Amino acid sequence: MQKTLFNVRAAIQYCVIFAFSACLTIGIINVLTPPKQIELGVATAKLEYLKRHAQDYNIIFLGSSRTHRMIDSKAVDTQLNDRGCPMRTFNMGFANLTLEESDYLLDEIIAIPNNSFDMIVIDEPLTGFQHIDKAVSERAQIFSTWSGTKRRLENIWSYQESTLKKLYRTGIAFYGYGYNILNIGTLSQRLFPDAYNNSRQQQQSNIDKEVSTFNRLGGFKILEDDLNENERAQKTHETFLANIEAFKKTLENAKTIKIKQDNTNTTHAAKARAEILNKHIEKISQNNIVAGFYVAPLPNRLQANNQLINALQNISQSSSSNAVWINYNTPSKFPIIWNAEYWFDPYHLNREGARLMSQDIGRQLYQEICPKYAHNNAESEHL
Amino acid sequence: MLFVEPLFLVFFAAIFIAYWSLPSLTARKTLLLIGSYVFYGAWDWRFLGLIAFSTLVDFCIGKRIADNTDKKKLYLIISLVSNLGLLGIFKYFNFFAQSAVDLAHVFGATLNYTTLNIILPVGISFYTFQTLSYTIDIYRGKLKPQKSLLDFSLFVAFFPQLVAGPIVRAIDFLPQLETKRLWTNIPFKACLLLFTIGFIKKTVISDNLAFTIDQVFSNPDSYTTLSIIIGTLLYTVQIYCDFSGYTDMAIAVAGLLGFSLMKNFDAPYLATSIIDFWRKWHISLSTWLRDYLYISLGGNRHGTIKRYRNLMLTMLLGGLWHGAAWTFVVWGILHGLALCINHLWHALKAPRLPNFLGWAITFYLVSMAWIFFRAPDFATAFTMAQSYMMIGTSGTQSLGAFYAFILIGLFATHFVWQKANIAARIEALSSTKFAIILGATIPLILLLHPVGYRPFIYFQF
Repeated sequence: MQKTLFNVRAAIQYCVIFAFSACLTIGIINVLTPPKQIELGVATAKLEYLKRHAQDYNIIFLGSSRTHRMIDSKAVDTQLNDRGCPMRTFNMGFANLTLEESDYLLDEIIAIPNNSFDMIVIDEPLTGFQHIDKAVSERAQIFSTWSGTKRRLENIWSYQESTLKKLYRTGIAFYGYGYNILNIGTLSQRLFPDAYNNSRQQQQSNIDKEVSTFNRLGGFKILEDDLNENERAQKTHETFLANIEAFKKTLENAKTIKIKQDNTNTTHAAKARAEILNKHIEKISQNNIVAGFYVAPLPNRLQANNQLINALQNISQSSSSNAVWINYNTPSKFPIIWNAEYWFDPYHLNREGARLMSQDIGRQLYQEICPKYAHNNAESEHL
Repeated sequence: MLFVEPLFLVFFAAIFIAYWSLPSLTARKTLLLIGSYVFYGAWDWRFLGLIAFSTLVDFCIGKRIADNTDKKKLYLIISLVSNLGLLGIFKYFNFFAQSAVDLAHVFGATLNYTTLNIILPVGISFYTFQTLSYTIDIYRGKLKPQKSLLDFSLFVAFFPQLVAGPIVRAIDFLPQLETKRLWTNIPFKACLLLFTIGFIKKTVISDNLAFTIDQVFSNPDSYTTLSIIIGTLLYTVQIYCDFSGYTDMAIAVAGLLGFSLMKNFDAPYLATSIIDFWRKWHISLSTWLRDYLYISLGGNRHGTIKRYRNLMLTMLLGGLWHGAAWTFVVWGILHGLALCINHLWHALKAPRLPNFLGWAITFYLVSMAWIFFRAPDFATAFTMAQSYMMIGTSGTQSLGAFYAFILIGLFATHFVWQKANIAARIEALSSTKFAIILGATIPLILLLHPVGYRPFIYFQF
């Protein structure tokens, strides 16, 4: 027994020595490793495009795939233009946009010099970190820094979902930190660049293909167009079609759910989330740009989204920032899209659904933003 | 769940702590069995039924063989048919059906068959050989049937070696389950070092070379002769590092649980003859083939011609064991021929070649045979083999001097590592020095860990 105790003590001692030696090596490696460049694939390409065409666009939608795949810029523009409001919309949507990425992109958009931005509409960012692969992706590594930890944790812990999920995502996020600190694969990429360059080339060719559509589609990407090349979209769509009856029921239930609009329905998590998002709204407003908050129709987050809107509106009323609410979370508001034939999967509308909703957004924006636009124009003409 | 994935490290840490915390031997074995099934089920839980079936059949048949000496041959046949039948259906059905169609086509006949959409269960070739050795050993009177189903199930499913060996013999493993393993007897330094070496072989060497090798083998026509030679040598390195890396990790993981698995590799690329090579390469398979196939066929007991016939058959079937494709059969035949020539050389009492010449010829033949092992089809294999014999291709793409330097570096390291017995020297260091070196080495290894995980090559067999 004494021998075992001794062994355990010795084992702990060697583990400490091992850890010290490992930490020292990791420290040296980190000092010698250059910082990572921010490279967000399509989002970076969109940002670069927007910088070059800052004068051409007036309304910017920034959000996740619910923006990227559901805001049909041309459909929005047609509604505005047909009513005599000569505005152009650009879709800065980026699949699985996280809060850190949203912070970065918003700062970059606002900082674009000589822009003609009248309005920036934001969507609620996602938490990311669904599984280990997401945490160790090149994209996630960019913001896996100690300075970004607070923001990352705020993002995870304010998102309205179960504590178990939050714990899981926190674990995955910290795994990502570990991966980043260890600089896994950094030297492999330099010594054996062929495999890395090959995957980069494939990604770059997809990005280039999308960039070529920016002028025509204004940053919007139709999900159906991905069916042949995006395996994930294909699988999601197939699963969706296989379970279409269940989804139809979900939509029917959504139509009959009575959504409470009172303050008592607002949870602590929703308030925390709203505080974070309101900072984005304030940041936009401070730059003399109209802020908008877009809530996509999401049958499985109906109540959560509604609580968030309540909380955001409450904060907004007591602060100087006034946001335009583009809320499709209420089935009664625009009932036509709460029909399974307009959906691609449980989270995204299809081509036709996106077109219909975007047309409606165009009509709404005409009422919200065009009078101000006309007023501003009149003022400048008067001056 | 690969040994190099973080998920495995979490899984193993949980098993390791729980295993050494449990006081009773039965509880420990039960934990290992559950853990092994979880490990196997992580690939595809549907195949758990298959492994359980195989276990139950051989457990029962083993008893029957021992109890019914007059019918023991019948029971052995049942064991062989059920085990090889499962292997045949899951691994070879489509291959033989397609081969029959192709053969009929040669003679002008048309056969129709429906391809079965069969997924090859991971490790089936390995655990089938293990269970077969159990019943054959009982039949031969070398082993008594196992009384405990728990022990036998653990012998079949023991997770460190379940999916890609070493192929464990019941005679070696089952006695280890009879006594409680002691924490104080674990060679920690040896196990940790072996796991680290295996990890380096797999991730740093094999996985980093994989993309380049895939490129060469997928389009050899576009590469220069020199590049194809380098590509072939890179694959020679990759297959060794991938497989022996897995084995090193398996032996280390088993060792940390107090079990000893047989050595599977003994510096095979330093072999000075093809006979020597097969004493050093995949030792658990070569000895299995020798003991259960070659000897069963008559071995060298029935004259020279039958001896060479048996040798060729053993190697041909050994090739087919690796994969359901004719390229594997050719790989086996090439080795069989080389072994026959080598034995004939000895039989004729021809002068012994100098070591260096013997090594060079052996290494050249072995790496040439790897072309057939790796190539997706005969067209690719012949193109590459021609280039390897300097007959040449018209390609212009070059792999560059970098890979030639890597090859030289790796061979030099391998040579020095073996000859200077560096592993033993590191093990002999004090525990403090060992912990410092290991702590400093692991972050450096991870720098060279390519992004993503590639399954071990031998998992497909």
